[in-house]
Amino acid sequence: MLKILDEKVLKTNDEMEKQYKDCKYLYIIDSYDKLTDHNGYLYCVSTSDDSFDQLIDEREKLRLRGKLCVLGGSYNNGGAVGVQYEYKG
Amino acid sequence: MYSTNIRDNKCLAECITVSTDTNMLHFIVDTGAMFTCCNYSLFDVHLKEETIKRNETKYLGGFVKGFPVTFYKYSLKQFTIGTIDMGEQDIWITFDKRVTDTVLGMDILKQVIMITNPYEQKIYFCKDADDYGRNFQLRAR
Repeated sequence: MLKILDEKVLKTNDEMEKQYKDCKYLYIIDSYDKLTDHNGYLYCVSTSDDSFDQLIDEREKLRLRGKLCVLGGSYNNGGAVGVQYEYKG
Repeated sequence: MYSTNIRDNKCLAECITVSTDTNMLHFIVDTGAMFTCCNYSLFDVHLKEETIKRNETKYLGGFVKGFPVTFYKYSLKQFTIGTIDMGEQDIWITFDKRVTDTVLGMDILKQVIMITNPYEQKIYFCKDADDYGRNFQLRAR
């Protein structure tokens, strides 16, 4: 499910990760310089991969409006299901 | 130099990818991953699989339980790790909808100096020896 929040209060990456575990989210920053400030304005949250495409759509809409946004989070707590390996079969 | 926190025993790097579009996204720093991987839509939503079917291909496990996933080599015009400009970089992209995680693997990580500071619970990235010499200082609380 996708939740549009459009928050106007600055939130740290830590706060976003803690509040929305196992979710992906988009947050807005004022400029590229702010990327490494580790904070932003939370715009929307995708609570499962069912709404992953909608999350991407929202990012594209923000781009058209001239907004800079960062995509963060993970549906799987940041870890895939195992060690990456190359299948050569 | 760029730094990011270690949180819940993992580390997320804020990266910029430049191809047809410019996108900013968090990549999971994974020294156990050989390759930097993500879903194609995270950096170029308009990309079609047919256009890159002839690119080098790998079948990678560890993303979907029990199944290897097809990844294509894709050249980015620019990739940055935080403030560190890595220039042109190749990453591996998939059109498999089951894969939504973004992994920063050793193919790119081996090109930078990476330092874990246990006192601050941070990881520092330095572009090269000059960057390290000028900017890094071990802070032990």
